[in-house]
Amino acid sequence: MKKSFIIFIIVSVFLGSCINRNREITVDMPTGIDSVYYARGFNISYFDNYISVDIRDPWDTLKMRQKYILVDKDSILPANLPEGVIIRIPVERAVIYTSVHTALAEQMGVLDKVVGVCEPEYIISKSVLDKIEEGKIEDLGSSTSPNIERIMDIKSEIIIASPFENSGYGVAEKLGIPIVEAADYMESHPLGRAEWIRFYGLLFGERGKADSMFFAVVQNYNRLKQLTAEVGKRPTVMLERKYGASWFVPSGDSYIGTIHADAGADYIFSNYRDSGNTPLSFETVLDKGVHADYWLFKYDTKRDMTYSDLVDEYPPYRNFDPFKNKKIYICNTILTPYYDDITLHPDWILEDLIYIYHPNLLPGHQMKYYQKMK
Amino acid sequence: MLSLRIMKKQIFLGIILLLLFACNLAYGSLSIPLKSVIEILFGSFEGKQTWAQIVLQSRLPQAVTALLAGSSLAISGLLLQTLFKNPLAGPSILGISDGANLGVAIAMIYFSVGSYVTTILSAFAGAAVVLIIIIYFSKKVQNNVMFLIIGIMMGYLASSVISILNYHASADKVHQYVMWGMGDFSGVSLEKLPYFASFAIAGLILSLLLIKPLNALLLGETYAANLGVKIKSTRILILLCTGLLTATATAFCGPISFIGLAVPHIARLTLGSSNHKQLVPVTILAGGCVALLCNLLTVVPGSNSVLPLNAITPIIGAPIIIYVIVNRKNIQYFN
Amino acid sequence: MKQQITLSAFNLGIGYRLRGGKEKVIHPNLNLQLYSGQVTCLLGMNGAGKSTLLRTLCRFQPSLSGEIEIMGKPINLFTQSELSLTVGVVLTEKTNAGGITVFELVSLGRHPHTGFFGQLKEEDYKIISASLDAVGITHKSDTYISELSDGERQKVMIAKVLAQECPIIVLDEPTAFLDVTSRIEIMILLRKLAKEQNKSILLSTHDLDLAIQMGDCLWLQSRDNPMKRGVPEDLILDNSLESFFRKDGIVFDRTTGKLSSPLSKIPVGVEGDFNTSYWAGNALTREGYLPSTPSADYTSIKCVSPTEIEIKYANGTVGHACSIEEMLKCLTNRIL
Repeated sequence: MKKSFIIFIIVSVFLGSCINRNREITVDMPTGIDSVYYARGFNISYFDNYISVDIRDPWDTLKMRQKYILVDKDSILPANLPEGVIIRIPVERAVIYTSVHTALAEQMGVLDKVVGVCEPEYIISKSVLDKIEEGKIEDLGSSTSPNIERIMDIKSEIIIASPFENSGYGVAEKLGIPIVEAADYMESHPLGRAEWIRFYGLLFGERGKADSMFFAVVQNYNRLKQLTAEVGKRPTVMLERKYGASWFVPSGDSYIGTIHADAGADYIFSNYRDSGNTPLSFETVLDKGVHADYWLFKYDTKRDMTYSDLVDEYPPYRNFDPFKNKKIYICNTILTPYYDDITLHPDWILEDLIYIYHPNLLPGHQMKYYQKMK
Repeated sequence: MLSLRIMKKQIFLGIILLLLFACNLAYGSLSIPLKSVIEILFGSFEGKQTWAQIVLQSRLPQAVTALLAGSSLAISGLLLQTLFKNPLAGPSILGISDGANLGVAIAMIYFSVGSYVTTILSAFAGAAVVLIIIIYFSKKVQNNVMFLIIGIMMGYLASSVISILNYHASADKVHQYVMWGMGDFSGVSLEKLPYFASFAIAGLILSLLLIKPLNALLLGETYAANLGVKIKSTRILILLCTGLLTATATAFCGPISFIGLAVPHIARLTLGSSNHKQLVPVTILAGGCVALLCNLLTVVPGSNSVLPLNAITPIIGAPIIIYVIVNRKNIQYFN
Repeated sequence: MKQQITLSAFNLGIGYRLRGGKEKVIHPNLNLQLYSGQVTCLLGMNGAGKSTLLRTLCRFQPSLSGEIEIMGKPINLFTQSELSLTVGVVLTEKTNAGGITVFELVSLGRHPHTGFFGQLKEEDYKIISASLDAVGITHKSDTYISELSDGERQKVMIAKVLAQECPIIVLDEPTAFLDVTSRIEIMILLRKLAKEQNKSILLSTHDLDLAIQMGDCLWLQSRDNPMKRGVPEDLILDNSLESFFRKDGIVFDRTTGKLSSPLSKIPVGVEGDFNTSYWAGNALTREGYLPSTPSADYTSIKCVSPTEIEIKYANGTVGHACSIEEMLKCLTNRIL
């Protein structure tokens, strides 16, 4: 009696695994895979009747965060699609939460396919602002709690939003509208971040244009980077400011660390790796950075910051050499398109930086983002 | 005799305070040899200039700020605990620090102004508004428990407005506000120290002047009135003193938790007495000690990072409160 | 010493002002005087408004109508500090003073006399010591209040009010938590203060015995009747106390000065040794008998001594008892 029971179990398990294997066999093999050059957060696979885009979890790179199945609007929806969020392309009506991606859409020339944005107060682009005023683009309020009813009302096909580590998108998830998790900001290589435009290009049916935009950026960026490859002396640079009790320093292999290194500078904390932003005490930064050649930081007030503003904020700043030698360069993120451009045009930012560190390499360049602090 | 023992305790605390102050000058994220620190303080140092800058421009004002802020918050807590006959009262309970938080949140998030001066002014303004409302209610509501509840409700109101502001704010602004909320003794530079110090010292002196009515209040408001204490005006003075001290500390250092709640208990336990004649000075000393200790603990030995202040203060404060609650039958000032 | 009026009230209405301008009147019209050198006891059922009256007289709450004068001056003209030098109180309120010593608490009584920082001078120390002595708690000067018994705590509060040196002292149920000895001690102390230091003492109490025994003057307060005042014996003899305490099942017996229940009284004759007869009478009253002059119509007892009591029954038989307990047993067996 017992013996036959055991045989029964073994046979069922065997049959079960057979069945599973059969199911695996019916999964498609991709007909082509787009090489992703710098980005680590996504990959694109082409199949017969759909395109699959896998987004990696930026906080746990071994996990898959999302899989998007892009199916042409003209074709009938295939029967055996793998699990994932289905998006019919090309998208004609998109809601974009972040001003950065709105700027990307504009640069791809698909602004007319954007029907709603959040937080227009952070948008600099005149065309976007005009369209909002004309009512062609809806103002949906804040990105943390957008006006859900309006989103439904304007019949958006997708929502493009930046993901955060442990939060969802609130009520928006229940709308049934595919949410595209634009995790480009988590890329640590400037070109990796730019590469995401190839994904967005797919969504809007502008794959060719997006690809060429990207490759143009790659070319320009690498050309500029090559300029600094042979410099004799790399000036030292310290970054950011004290925030409360801590001075958050970006790590050497972060986006910022990479772009400054590529610009031919020696970032004083480049030895910090893989650590995001480290909170250091003022004294540690003073000790390491007091003799730095340059000091660069970003700020977001409506008027330009001056040396007296800086000393007002925290008098011991004046002990740094860059302060004494007036070698501080600042970027006003409200008055310049820094955040708009940094995703798709790291090469433009790189240009500014090279001009600061090695002006002889780019004579005649006019800085777009940074300026010498007065 | 009793007074000799108490004097010894006060001297002992004073010595600990000086020791902790010295530690805060000698120890930080950067290792600076003690000999150099001493030379820097006496002006005979001839080494790395950055070391002198760090000790004199960063560590020294930070230690003084910690001392004054710790004393201010501790006295705030003591005044409230005596006034409301409630050992769990603290500066946060009346919503005054929530008011300061709200002022800063409005300035940073709604108006997007985060400069040094506006932060301080908005914190003061927020605390003042809540304080005025509290004083108004203190005239209308005689019962202390009810009055405390009104204060708690004010705190909740302020917090809810802050939540709304945060909810609609961009990540940047929220981050800036959150950073402010971590508490920070390093924000007061040598140049700004006189402003901070004058407000704090004014409040502390006022508290010393209140010793006599505070002792009378140990008997309750009816007895105190019978002993000649003008209850209404004394209540207002105590609230003003608390408000000034809390607003000053919160404006310059951000909201700092637990010191106001726990240090009066540390003082009472050390003294073994509720007599304000000794309790007030001991609370001032103990507040300074605890704050200096917490400041030291924000530097993690061996690592370059610093911990946020409000992560350290509960580690010191919460066990004290738990100890007091668990042992209250044996603690005389509880009975 | 000549007796002066220290506190007087004319047409005093006491009660509470409610919201909306309404008033809850406890008493509409009181006319009272306190005299120096006298102990006045305020008696009344719970809810009669004793605390309200005391609080109004001390200016802890406003009167609804009428005037109060202290030492001839209207009470509302007193500043807070002037009043603190004139009227001292001992209340039933709980304090938060567990963490200070007896000496420190009593020294709080010197508040109205000391300067801005409350510094004590030599004279203050003398007065504090004298106050501690007067209540008999000097041996616990350095003990913390939280370590005292209720009775000791009460004594400390009285010592504090002594240190305050006020001509008028008002106490709300000062003997409430005290044991028998302490109660008498306190009342004796209060009388001593009245007589020796010429103070006016006003206290509310439920202690009827002590009030009658120690009070120079009684105030009888009840909700629906006007206030009765007078020397205790007059109030007993004119039946004021009897009508004051008349309630279902309670009667004030004007002969014994005690409260008892008015069950139907069976008369029992009592004669003999004065002391034994008095206490035998007490026992008989408790058992529902009525001590009377001996008669042949009903049972009588003859107290020869505390251990020898003769019982002459109505039917002529005679019994003996060696104690009052035995006597009671005999009566119960026989008479019922």
